[in-house]
Amino acid sequence: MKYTTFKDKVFAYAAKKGVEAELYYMATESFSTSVYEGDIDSYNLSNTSGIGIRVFNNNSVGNAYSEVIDERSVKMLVDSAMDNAVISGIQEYERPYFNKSDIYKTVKTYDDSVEKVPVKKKIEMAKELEKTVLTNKDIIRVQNCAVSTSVSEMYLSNTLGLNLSDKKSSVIMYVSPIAKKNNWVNNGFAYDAGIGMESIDIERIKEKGINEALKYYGAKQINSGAYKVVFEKETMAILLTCFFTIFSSDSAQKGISLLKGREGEKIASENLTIIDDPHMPGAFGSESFDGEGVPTYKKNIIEKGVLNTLLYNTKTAAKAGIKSTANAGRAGIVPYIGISAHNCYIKKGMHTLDDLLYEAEGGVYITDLMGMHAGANAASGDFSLLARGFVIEKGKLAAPVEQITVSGNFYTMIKGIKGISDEVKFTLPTEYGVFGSPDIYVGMLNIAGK
Amino acid sequence: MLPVFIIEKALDLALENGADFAEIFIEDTLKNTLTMTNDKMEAVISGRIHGYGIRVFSGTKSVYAYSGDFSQRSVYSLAKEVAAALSSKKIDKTDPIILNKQIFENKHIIANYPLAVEAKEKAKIVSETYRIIKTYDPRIVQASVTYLDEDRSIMVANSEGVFTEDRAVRTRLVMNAVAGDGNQNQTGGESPGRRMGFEMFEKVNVEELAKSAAKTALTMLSAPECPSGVMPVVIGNGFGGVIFHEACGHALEATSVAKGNSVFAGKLGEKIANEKVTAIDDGTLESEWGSNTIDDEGTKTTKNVLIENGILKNYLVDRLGARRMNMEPNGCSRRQSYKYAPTSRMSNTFIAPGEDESDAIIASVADGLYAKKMGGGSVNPVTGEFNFAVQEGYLIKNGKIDRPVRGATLIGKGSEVLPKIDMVGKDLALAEGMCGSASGSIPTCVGQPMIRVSSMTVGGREAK
Repeated sequence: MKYTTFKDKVFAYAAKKGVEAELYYMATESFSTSVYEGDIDSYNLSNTSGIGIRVFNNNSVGNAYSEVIDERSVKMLVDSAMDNAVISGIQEYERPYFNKSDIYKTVKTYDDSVEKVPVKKKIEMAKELEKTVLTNKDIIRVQNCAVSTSVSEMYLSNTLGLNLSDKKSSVIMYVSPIAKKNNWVNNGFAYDAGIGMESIDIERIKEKGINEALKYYGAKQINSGAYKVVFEKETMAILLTCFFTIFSSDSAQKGISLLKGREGEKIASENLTIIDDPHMPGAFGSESFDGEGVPTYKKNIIEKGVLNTLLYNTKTAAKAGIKSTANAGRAGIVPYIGISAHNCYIKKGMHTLDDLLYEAEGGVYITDLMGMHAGANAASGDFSLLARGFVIEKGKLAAPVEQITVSGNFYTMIKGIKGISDEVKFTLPTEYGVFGSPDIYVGMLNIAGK
Repeated sequence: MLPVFIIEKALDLALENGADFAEIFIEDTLKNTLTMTNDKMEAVISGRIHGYGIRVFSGTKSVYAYSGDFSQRSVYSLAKEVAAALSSKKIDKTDPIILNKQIFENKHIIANYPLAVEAKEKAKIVSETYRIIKTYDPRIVQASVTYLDEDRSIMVANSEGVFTEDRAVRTRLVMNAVAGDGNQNQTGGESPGRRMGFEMFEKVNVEELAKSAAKTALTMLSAPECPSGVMPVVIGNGFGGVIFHEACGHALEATSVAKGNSVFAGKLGEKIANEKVTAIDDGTLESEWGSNTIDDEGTKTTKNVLIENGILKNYLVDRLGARRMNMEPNGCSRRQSYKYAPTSRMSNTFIAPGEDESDAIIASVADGLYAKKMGGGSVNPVTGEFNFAVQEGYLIKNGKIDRPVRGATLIGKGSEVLPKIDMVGKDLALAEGMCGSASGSIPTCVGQPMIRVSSMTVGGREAK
């Protein structure tokens, strides 16, 4: 059934039942292929759709979702959500959103090249990437070499009159080459990604992939102790992802984030500014409205060390008696409204990476982190993570280091930031949005090794 | 679900268009989630996941497609499309596929289907558990309790004549406690789950676990930072088994072994662990969280001994891996949903009980760490590098458990840590978790008795 037909039926049924309702529909078509030893290894196609509903009955809210969109689902979804509303009880702050005078900024999130470039060409690209990576004598094979594209269409409507839609495209191409030198084996990973095919540069992925696979050759543990630490851009972005929820109003209102009630206070060193920008052209985290339909805008979360604002959806904002910051997040069709960032990044600084390395003499440049879901705790701010990197010697990167953990506390660490480099890099989308960072010299952290 | 004649015809079409193997997987799953936090029921969500996937092979090449469109036309065109994508030669097939359904005995009897349980009963469990955590101590500043149930019906049919169904019901209660003193927070959690219906709450002592979650958070709140360095580590039973899951289990999956990417590839019959270590993956255990009657390729699940007295005995092999490795599939191919092609995965994976007494294990350590409760972990199967977090840890001084310490992480390489598991206790216990890998996030159990690792790198925030 077409979305508009389905929506009309659901809203008519909701009206009959005397409840307000909100629908979120998503349909995704995707393609991916991986190659191995010059041939197609796997090839995936998909075409799915689903719908999530929130029903608002007096002061209670109930949720349901389904991947079956037919006549019977109309009643089933509404009834099931209404039953759930009885269980959920009073939710005084959760309401459907609509404001007639809202103006939405147009943001480019779709590029037709991902659909126009034929599958055959995409397969050729993957083969080409594998072939060119294998030209390096130390690369023995690829663990993965793939290209993946997807296009999704989304509709958000409610009985108050909200009616929005969005279309997004994405492409990612990646390789993980396996390097072998003597008895040493290691896998690297490199990718290009964007909303259109022009984001992909095979040569660039190849260069990075080979370098990532080989750069830790000869890596050793270093002695345990306190070291000056510089986090490479992407590893710092990963740390920011792990601790993003400390900026969530929901987390703060629940007392889990220690930033509760600290808006306006200095919580980090003066050189730190964290921005959430929903309007960066072609970025994965860009959108003109959030998960509830609120128009998005650019904001500083931390400005020169001062906590400017936490991130709110309409529910947490109502609770705090303020306006939503348009940071309502959703996880696909499951109708639970959380808090997400759009493109959230640490503002670039004035130093070059060389400046930072010079300052952090005798320290460690961390270029790889593992085990984030286990070793980083957003409630305490503590982290202790498996890491790899390089010893910093005479202002340059020297011997590679592996089998170490780097540990600290995020709240404490951001107070002691010593230097920030002049280039920002973003990582792939996460459940909380897209994150980016420059290189950051954070001062002393404890490292466990030998 | 689809009529049999459509399934047969779709498999025929796939073979005619160049596949040497074709498989159809259909899933219809109902889920319910209830979450209470901040003294409120925060979300009550019901959902339905419904779709199918068609997978074809030609040699070791595989193509997978999935869709939610069950129309006959769409199923047939998808079958042709996936087969054509193999770009192998079309064959003149003469014998049409005739499927005869075979149902395997389901040991995991469900007494109380979640569908038949009123939502307010589920809500009662959630709010009672929430209250137990929240009122345990004034320093418990926040709690969250999530009830989850899942009723998953699957059908698998393939061109080799497999045609079977299964219905798996799972129930879980995820409890988290946050202890805080205004300046800092610490967390504790417990997440019991079973391949059972609502009767799980008669079998599992929720109250005790809820208190244990609160107690962990409180213990860690007053604990100093863990020292870092290399030391002997005693790992407690139950979730401690995550060490084997990460350090070895993933590297024994065909996904890594088949292409030679695993450190344990080509080592069958070789000694890879201390002789005290016997490790098993057993998907047949009655009503356990990671158990299945059949896997997601329709193969009956089995008990697979992976390591016996230190010797590598077996891998976890799915159909595609079997083709590469020249082995038989052994019932371990799993997927989160029809949105993933299945691959070799763990079910209930544990180190078998040994001969050492727990007291003797602790007493044997002069200066080390006791990781009583573990958090999650991860591994890179190519290098074998693993890491996991200690949720509740204590120092061991002169053979006695000393003060609690927080923030510890254990790291190492699988092939190096297995020979160092030099004491294995008797108190085997399983613990439930979700394992994320190539075919999505699936329910698995980890497990072990108390073990000692003679030396490991411990990462903490305190210089030793």
